[in-house]
Amino acid sequence: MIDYKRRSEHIKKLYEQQNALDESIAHQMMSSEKIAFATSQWRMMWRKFIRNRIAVIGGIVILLFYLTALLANFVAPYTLKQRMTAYSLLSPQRIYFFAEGRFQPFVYGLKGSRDPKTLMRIYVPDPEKRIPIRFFIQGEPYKLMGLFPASTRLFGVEEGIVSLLGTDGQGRDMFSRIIIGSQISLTIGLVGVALSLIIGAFLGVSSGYFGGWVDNLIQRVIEIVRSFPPIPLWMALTAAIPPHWPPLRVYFTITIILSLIGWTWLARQLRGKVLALREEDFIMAARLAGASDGWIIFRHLIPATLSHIIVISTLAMPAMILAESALSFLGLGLRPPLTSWGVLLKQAQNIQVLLLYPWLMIPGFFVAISILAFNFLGDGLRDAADPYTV
Amino acid sequence: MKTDMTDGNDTVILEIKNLTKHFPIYRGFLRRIVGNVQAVNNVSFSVKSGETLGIVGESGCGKTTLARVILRAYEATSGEVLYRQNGEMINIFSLKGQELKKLRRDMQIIFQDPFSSLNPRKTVMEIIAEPLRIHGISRGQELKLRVGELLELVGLNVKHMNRYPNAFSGGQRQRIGIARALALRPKLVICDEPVSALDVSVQAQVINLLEDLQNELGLTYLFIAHDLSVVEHISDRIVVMYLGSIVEMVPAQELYKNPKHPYTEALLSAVPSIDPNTHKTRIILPGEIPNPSDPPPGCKFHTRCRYAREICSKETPKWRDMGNDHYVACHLADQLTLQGITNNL
Amino acid sequence: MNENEKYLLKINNLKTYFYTLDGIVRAVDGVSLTLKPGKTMGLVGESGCGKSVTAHSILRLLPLKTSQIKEGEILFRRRNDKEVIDLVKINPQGKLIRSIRGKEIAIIFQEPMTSLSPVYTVGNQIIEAILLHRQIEPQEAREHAIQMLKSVGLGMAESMIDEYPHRLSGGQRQRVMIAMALSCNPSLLIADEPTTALDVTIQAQIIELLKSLQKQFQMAVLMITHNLGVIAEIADEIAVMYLGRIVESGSLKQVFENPLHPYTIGLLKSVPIIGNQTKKRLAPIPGSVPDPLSVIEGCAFRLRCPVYKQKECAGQEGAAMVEVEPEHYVRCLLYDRDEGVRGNEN
Repeated sequence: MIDYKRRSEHIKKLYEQQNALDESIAHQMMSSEKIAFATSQWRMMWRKFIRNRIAVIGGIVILLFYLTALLANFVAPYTLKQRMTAYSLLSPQRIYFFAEGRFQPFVYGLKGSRDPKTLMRIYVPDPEKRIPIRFFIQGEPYKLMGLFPASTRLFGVEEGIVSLLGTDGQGRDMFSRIIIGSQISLTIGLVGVALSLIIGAFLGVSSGYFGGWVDNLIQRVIEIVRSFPPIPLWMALTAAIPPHWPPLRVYFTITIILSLIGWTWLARQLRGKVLALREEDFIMAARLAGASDGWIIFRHLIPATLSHIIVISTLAMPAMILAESALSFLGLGLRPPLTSWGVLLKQAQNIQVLLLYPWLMIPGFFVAISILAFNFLGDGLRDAADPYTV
Repeated sequence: MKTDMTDGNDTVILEIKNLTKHFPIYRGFLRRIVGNVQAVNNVSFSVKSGETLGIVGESGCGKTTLARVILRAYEATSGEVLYRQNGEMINIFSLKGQELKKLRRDMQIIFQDPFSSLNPRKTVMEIIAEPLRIHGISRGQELKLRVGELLELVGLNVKHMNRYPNAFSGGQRQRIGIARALALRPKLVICDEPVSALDVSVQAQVINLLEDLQNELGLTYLFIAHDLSVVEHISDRIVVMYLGSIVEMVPAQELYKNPKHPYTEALLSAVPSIDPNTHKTRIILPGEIPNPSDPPPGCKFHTRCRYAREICSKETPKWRDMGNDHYVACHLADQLTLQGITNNL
Repeated sequence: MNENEKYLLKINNLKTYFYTLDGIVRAVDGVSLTLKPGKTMGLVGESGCGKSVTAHSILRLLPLKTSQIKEGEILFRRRNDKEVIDLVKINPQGKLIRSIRGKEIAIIFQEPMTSLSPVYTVGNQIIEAILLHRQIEPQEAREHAIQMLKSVGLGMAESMIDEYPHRLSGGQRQRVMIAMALSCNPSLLIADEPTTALDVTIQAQIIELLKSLQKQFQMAVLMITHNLGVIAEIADEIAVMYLGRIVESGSLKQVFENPLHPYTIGLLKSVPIIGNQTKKRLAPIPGSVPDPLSVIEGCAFRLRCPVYKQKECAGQEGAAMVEVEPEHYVRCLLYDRDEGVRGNEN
């Protein structure tokens, strides 16, 4: 369609020469790796990200956590409600991995008795009785991922008990409860962040892109939402949840409450990013080519902020997980029979428990690990997110 | 299709009438307007079809704002921009919606910064195809073909269509930007400092390309730059701007021989030259460019002008026709003999 | 050159490398330069040619973690005792280099705002620089600062001294930077693209200022720029750099009137000259500056060179500097004493 046949032979030749030259310079002088990687943003991000060791470790830990949460019923030797009353408040058991020089994990059987003075239950390992830990053992039936009926479990014992992290006052295995509880603790963050993302991305991008009174209004709303102290606000909102609601609905209500407060941070971050992007010439070029606002937002701004949205979401996860734990710990959030790390921690609310049964605090350790991992991952992603600025 | 009305030699394609653009300055909590940056002030000129009109001036003279107002990236404060479409001069400020979108096919822009002007997340193909997609001109295989043609047109390898901008050098990136600007087959291209971010050795490549494209496609250029030697090289006529106003409008060959405005004279003398045969006396302008939110009264240049008289600080100079298509806004235009550049070749 | 006494700064075969994630960047790869006291040397080249890195190597301002001076020496003659020291050998964070920086070798940058602190007044910053190197009373230092501001053409020095940098225009800031740089009367001023961010008329002011100050203060200037015009206005001698090496050097007249290296010729030809060749096709150098990570065998310019010959230019160590006429050097494998560079037209 373009008529450049008017171009004279001489000039055509000049361009061909130029082209050949550029090509040869590119090939001889650019490292081939660089040409290969002069590619998409995601590959550049990835290349930078994997150099950050701590972030990679954080990422692996999070992957493991989510994988475990996904297969929680399979990994946990017991169900949530399985009570082994003979073994209540058992401290974490020692696992022996080798028997007679062979790999054969086992635990010792336990003899229960009472301390004659304090009347506390104590368990003494019985060296005579080795209980082998079996893998892929048949246990209580469950539904894998809530869908497939199964009864095979990763590990377990045929008699007695195997309890990696001890049991609670009702003889329920803490390890199983933490693993299964992670399903709620880790997903409430995901769902909460996803919801805040929808609100925050929409309001943040509009605020930055349109500016003017739209921006002013959204910013004032953010300031108002932010100036409420969060805990009283949560208390007020959760108090409004009727006690007779089914657990699932409570769970979703809590998520919505968390994200209604959480979106402001995201919106602010995205607004800043969009404000900077709006000044880029390529946005102006699209506008001057006749692109509509929708075109610019969906084809340029959102793809350009996508990496930042991922980073911001990753960094927002810890806050969500913490908020859930805090709420449930205070008795404002999830309530049994729902089990989350916060709910589990509720058992460890008094000093006596802390002193006598410290393993009941282990869910707190899982909260801390997941939050650290998310922060490391998020920091790494943030450093890698802008491959063009370096 | 070609009629004499639209493609004649001296047909005016763009006419700017008394164009003014002020940016309000907001202060305080209530964001009250406390003043105006007078970026473009009462500017009038016209561009003929097929010519290159150079606009030269220092930072803050309003040349970039002018370009963006013409393209309707900013709304003008007052004035008119008339553009010839199908033989009729239409006021582009009255266009809306689809009409405006249609006008965008005729007017395109080439940016200064070859890095900021290309989206790093898109391939060359996507970048150049974007205007064609926006206007729904072609799609699929045909789109690819057209992008290929455009790449060839600007002297880039068609095989590199699927690379990302970061695989290219500054000069090559600038060509990608040019290909994008030409995708809609515009008649008028506004070049906003297209070579000033490039290496010296590469500048000439891009200037040559722009000149070739003009010859081949019959483009009209509005060429904005601060580098007088580049503007002088590429332009047919040159507009010199100072602090939001035009001070002189002159054919390019006249400019260096026969400047009529003291500012132009100083600008010419300030350009460092590599040619040992060029002789000139250096005129050093005192002081700085005044703040555009508070420009001096009368002739805006009088605070730095070595010829200034009393009248200069009181009255705004009127346009004077000096003959030979040469116009100047200076009270003393008839009385002064100004120095240009002489070549002892 | 024959009398060793004469130089102020002498760089011998300097190699400064950067270690990046993607590989080694040989930013400066064997640069030799000689600067005479009171003269201006123009170091010219395109982006990435290593001209700024050369300047930063002299002042040892390079990032410690990612860069290293691999080879070479930078001999600098100190002011009072006439002693010559090798700046490569001293501790880049030690006392000695700090007593040289600012006091004997000063530097001004392209964007003065990055080197002026926004939270202190102009006066504070100049006075601090003076007090750092001289044992005088603060009041005396203030007077000296005012005097310096006046000498760089800031008329309202008494009021200017209490202004914050952001209140000044680009040209004024550059003048403040110059005042600060000259406040301790250095024997060498390194000007790293000092006018690139400025408008032409302001650029002309700064060039004139530098020229007059140079005479007044009797200092040598190392002017780093990509702008051949600026070099032509100010330099006595010129060195053209390409990809970490000097390809041609000599007096201004020698290089501009009788350029020998194909790169120098290309640079000079590719710039439009006012009133000279309107609408004539320019003669650009084809291609673009290659990636700094690349290692090029033979002559680094050969891929863009119009007179390049496969046999001579590739696969060798690269050319050595040849003295063509007194103090005019060229680094080109095609240079022949009788014919000049073979293939060059005229």
